[in-house]
Amino acid sequence: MPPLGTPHTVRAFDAELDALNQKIARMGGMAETQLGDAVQALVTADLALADQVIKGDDAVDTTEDSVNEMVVRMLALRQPMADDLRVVMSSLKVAGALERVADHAAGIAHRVHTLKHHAPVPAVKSVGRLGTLVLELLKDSLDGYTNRDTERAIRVWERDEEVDALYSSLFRELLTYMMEDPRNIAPCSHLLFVAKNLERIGDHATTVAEVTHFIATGKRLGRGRPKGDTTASFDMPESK
Amino acid sequence: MAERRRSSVPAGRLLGLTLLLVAPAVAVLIGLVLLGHLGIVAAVAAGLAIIVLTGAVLRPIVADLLDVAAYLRADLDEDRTPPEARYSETARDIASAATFLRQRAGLRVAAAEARADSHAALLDCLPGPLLLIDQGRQVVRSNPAAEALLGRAVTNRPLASVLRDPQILTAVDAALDDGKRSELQIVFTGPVERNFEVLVEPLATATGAGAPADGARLLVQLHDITALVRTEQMRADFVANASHELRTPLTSVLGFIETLRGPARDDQDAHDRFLAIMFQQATRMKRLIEDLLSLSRIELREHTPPTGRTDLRRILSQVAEGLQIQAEEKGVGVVLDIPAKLPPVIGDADELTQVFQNLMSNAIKYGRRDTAVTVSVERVGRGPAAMPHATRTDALVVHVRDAGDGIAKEHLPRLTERFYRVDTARSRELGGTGLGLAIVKHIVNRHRGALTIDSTVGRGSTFSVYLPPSPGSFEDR
Repeated sequence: MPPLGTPHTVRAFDAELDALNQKIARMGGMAETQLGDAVQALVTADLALADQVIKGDDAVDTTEDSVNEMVVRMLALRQPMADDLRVVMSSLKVAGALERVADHAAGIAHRVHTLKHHAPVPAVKSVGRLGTLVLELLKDSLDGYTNRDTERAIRVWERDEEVDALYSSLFRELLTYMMEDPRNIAPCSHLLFVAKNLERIGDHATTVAEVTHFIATGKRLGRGRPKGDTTASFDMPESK
Repeated sequence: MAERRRSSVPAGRLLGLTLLLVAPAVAVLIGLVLLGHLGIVAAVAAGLAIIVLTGAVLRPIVADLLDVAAYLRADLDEDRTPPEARYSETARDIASAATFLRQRAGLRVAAAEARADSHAALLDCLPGPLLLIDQGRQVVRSNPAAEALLGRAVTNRPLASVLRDPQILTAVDAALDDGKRSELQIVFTGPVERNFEVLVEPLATATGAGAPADGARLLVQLHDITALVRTEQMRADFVANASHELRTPLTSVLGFIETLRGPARDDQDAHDRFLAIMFQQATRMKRLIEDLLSLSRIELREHTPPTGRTDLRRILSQVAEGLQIQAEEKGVGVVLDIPAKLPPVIGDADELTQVFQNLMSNAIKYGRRDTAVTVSVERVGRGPAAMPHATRTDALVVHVRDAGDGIAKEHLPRLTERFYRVDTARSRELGGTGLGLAIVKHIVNRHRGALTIDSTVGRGSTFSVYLPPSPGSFEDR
């Protein structure tokens, strides 16, 4: 990624900034793979893949630590200003968001093990659909971040509403399954947590998009993000 | 260069050179004065004259030499004519040698550039995306296929910002650090999932004398294997479907056997009823296995067209006769409308029997009570576009028309897929295996013919089979 603005007098700073950006991009790829694998493991009930995701979480954590270290070093030694400061500080935020994404992915992978003990519920497919959507959003937000593409960032920011809407409808679907047959309650509750994890990942993708917008323009995206999640005001659907 | 400008001679240099050249003459003059052979005034005058004249002679020569020097120093692509060098033969010599050198160097550079261009063109033409990476993990070169795939210009950007996949980045690290070559498979997520085989290969000439000037150390090559992965998926799906289709009747048979051995051991009514169902289910399984076997048999032979001649008229009447009972049960009449004189077609009689058996029994099954199924044969000048070009002219077509409920448009393209059913429950109830039309399609393909389906919801459907006539059959009419 070309550093913003003109090259610096201290060329080592450019190299460090470049290394930081590369590290973030690499971490993004890791988080993406973790999420993709976790969703795949859930849909295909693949325990081996789930284990791989759980093991892979450490690598993401290590990368986050090294990003933090790099940021502290740069702040202490180079005292970056203006857009450089924005890039350095936001790296911290993006790394944090990506680490949370990987955590949620590992959480989903843990649930794959639990779900194995229960009869399969058809709702897994719907959760998989939510996973695909969130993965697409995460990919878009990372593409936007690595290219400083504001337009893409805004698109991600707007599309988070879709995630919320799908989450709400999924919530309803799962409740219906639970009311149909009490044996569905256990697996469906787990799926509810998985769906919540995915919804949170969608929020983290939005954070990355907001950071992208901030780095590129220096302005914040408005607070009034469209919200489509209505589960907070949700009652049990009336049984007929 | 149109305008010839002579190099100006710096005064200091000219003076120095002149003084150096006149030094012996001046020394002789000083000697003559010291020995008293020459008056001091004359000596000084002679000395000055020598200096001035030498300077005057030297000046154009030095200017020539400077011209030549400038000519030599000029860039190769600068178009220059060699300096005239009127006063100095040495300068002329050097100039002509320089011209020769320039020409030779020019040719070499042009050849090298042409080679580089052709290499670049080659890289650009390669259909697979390629990236060249340097030690600092920057993309130093890419081809248009790579940019099309990644959706943006990728040259001179860090690899991580272009391809984030951790597998690729790890492989690149391994290749840069240990010179390890690796092959891996990755999935590009997105609205359409795509699978790639990625080859990370260190360049053999990356270090040492032949190292590329752009610093490329390794090659990342992507190979699209989406089609392969999809095919494999389809195969797996087919096996899963087939076993599912077999398991359903098997489960019900097993269930009845259990009941017959247990609670219904002495119940004669139940025996009769259950045995009837078991017979029906077992028959369904048998049919399914037969269909699967004939499908795989046909697929094996699909690439070798049949060679025998067959009489369509005989086949169609036989099939109609065989289906008589089924048709009567349903109250459906089968009407054959076949011209008296029909040229034979190239075909395998058994396979064609199976085709029309499947089509006609479908028509009877899905036709409404008290309607007719019409089977008509005609000659067409030209078969449909789906037919292979070589067999298209003068084809024979068999239409099997029913007056059933018809098939909605969205199902038509998928009808010949294995286990595709418009209405699963109804198909099972009528004893369908979901393979009938797939078999028809494969047999017709093997015969180098075509199958077309026309249907109007509420009015009925027409299945038309186009077959190539046997050669020479039209001459003896």
